Amino acid sequence: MIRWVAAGLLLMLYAAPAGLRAGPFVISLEVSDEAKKQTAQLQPAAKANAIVKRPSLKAAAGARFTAKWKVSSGSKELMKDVLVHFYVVRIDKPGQMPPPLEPKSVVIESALTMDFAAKDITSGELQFRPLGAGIYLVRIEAQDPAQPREREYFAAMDLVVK
Amino acid sequence: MLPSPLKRIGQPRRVPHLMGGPPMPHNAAPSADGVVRAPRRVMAWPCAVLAVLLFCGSARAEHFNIDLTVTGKTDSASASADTSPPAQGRHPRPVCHAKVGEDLVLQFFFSSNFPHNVLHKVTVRFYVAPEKKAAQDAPADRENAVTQGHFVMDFKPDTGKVGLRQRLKIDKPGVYLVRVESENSDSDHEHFSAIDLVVE
Repeated sequence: MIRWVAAGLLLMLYAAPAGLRAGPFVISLEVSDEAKKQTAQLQPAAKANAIVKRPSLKAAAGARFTAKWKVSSGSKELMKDVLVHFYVVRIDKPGQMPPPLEPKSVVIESALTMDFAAKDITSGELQFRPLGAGIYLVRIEAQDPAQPREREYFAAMDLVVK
Repeated sequence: MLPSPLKRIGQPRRVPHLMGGPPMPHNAAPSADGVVRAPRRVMAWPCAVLAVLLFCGSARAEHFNIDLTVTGKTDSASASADTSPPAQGRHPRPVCHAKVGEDLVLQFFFSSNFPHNVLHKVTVRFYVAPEKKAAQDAPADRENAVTQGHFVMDFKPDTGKVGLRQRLKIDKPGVYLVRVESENSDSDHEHFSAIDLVVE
């Protein structure tokens, strides 16, 4: 019996999307207003024109939101000059991939660089107000310059403001 | 338009002039009459003394470089690094004027200027909060901040940096303190940059 369970677990691990396997970063994101909150964790990368299912938070126009994110190293190796990039940008429909970050569509954007040794952590807590009713992508991503550009590590959610 | 934090922080090789790269050769630029002249000879030793004094001043001073900017439709203001104590710093704060409901852009870049070692778990805090009058010494009312936030991060020597760009509107007339500051920077003083924003 135990062998079957172990084999099943191994099969599930193999079938899991690549982005969900143990990666170099552990990423979490939480967005809240005064009434409710939503959380997101590390998610698998998708094609540029894909529509994906991801966590969503609905709120009224005029609400003030707080985004809390945390990026920590899940690797024993030193990762140098990692870029940690956070943004809230208006999108056309839920689940849409990140659009170009045109200044007129971006509510808030931050970027920092630091080295990540094992267990190193950086975090942020940022208040923002959307530009009006609409759908917004809230996303935190980490990019290790030593890895190929297409390897993205991120957590994201949709913010639906009515 | 202000540059995106990603462009300035994430792609230093593409925009070296924004990241403190080699400056343009100023002495080859045309003068006001349009003529390019060779650099003038100057007295070497007074310049050397001045350079040493300036170097000592800057070496003594700052762990961080800060650029803080507030931009509205018709006015903008920029401030650079100041130190506390004293709590309100050594330099007068620039003032930016705006209208109620006007689109404003807050932007800052906070970068390490400390060459010796990593500064661990530094908090970089920013806020836009009401104050009673411009240039006041008393702290602003952060309980009623229009917006605020913070980062906790390690600053690598000379190259560690964080930047932010945020769009906001202010619904109530009044005077607001726009401030970004360091906490826990392992020093006997902290660094900040501040602007008074007058909303009418």
